[in-house]
Amino acid sequence: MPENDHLSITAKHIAALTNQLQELPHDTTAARILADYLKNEFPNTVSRRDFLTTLNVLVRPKVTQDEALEHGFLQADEPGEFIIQGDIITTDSAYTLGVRREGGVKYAIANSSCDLSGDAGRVDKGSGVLFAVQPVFSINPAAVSIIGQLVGMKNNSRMFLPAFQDDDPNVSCNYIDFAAPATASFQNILNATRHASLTALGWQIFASLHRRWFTREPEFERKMRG
Amino acid sequence: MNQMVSSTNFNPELFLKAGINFSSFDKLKNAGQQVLEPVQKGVFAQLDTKLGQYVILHHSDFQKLYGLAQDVHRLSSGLTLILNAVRSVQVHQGDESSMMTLISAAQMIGKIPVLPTQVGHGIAQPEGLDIEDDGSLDLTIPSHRPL
Repeated sequence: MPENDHLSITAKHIAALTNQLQELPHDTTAARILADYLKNEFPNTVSRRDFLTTLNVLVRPKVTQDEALEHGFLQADEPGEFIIQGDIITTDSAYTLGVRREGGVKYAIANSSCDLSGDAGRVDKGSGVLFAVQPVFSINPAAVSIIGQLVGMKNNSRMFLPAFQDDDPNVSCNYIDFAAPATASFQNILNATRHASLTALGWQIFASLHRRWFTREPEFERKMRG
Repeated sequence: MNQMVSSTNFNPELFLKAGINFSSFDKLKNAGQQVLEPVQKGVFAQLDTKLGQYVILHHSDFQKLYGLAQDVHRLSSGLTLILNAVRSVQVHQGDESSMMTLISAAQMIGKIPVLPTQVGHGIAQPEGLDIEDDGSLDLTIPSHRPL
């Protein structure tokens, strides 16, 4: 095939695929809908905070083995140990740039639940990504500003979470820090202490904000890439 | 000398004290869950059954020990590297590259006498310059903790 024909066919495919994908790969509409909803329905920081802190809004008691069996996530002959995406866990076996994080840090699990389920080969060999759950202490002079930003879902890299009962008494709330990833083997993630699961809404918000953090694009980027 | 080394290396954070001992599963069952209340950080309970002896740990102690075990595993890989380098020097006596491998391995491990750990991930700061304070939030009132 002459080189010019080859180039023209390639260009046609690039144009067709670019046209079909449009905004989809980098779309951040879900996160914007969420921020707008909170702004319109809840007049101020404290009402947003109270809504998001209520049980079964963002977090729920950890999904049980019976629930996982009932909905087909676990099979009856599989071991009972399981964990799902977004679960809030504690582990001293996670690493960031070779440094082991100790002291009972909480994390949210970034990997999809499928990565963490029954397939023993994957669980034994793989490693997963965890996002640190950072506490906001009421004695932090910037706490009011931090919480105001969090409950408005305005931060690109953070998602609000309530304080947990085993947190330090001075913890006012927490947030998932997408900018503070750690890694751990799947087996170590399975051995972590589970504290809570995300509700369906919490899981959707987690996905929306997580996606915005990793895929948002500056206006010029697509043009820059040609 | 050994005593001095062991006392210097004693880490009270890792010290576990034996607490209550249940001589059968029924004794634990009949006593109810409140009997496990003293099993807090640093204290473990023991359970003897016909199947075997078990240790009941608070989950935070389990995470601490388990996390440390991961580091010991990492360290053992480094020691294996040094042992292999030593064997290589033994087999190829006078071989300069074997000797250099041993020296490099020893230097590499020597630089990390303690494996790096850090508590937590740092202190929260506001993101960006937008100050979000509409005056509605009073942090002297503890917020509800749903879980």
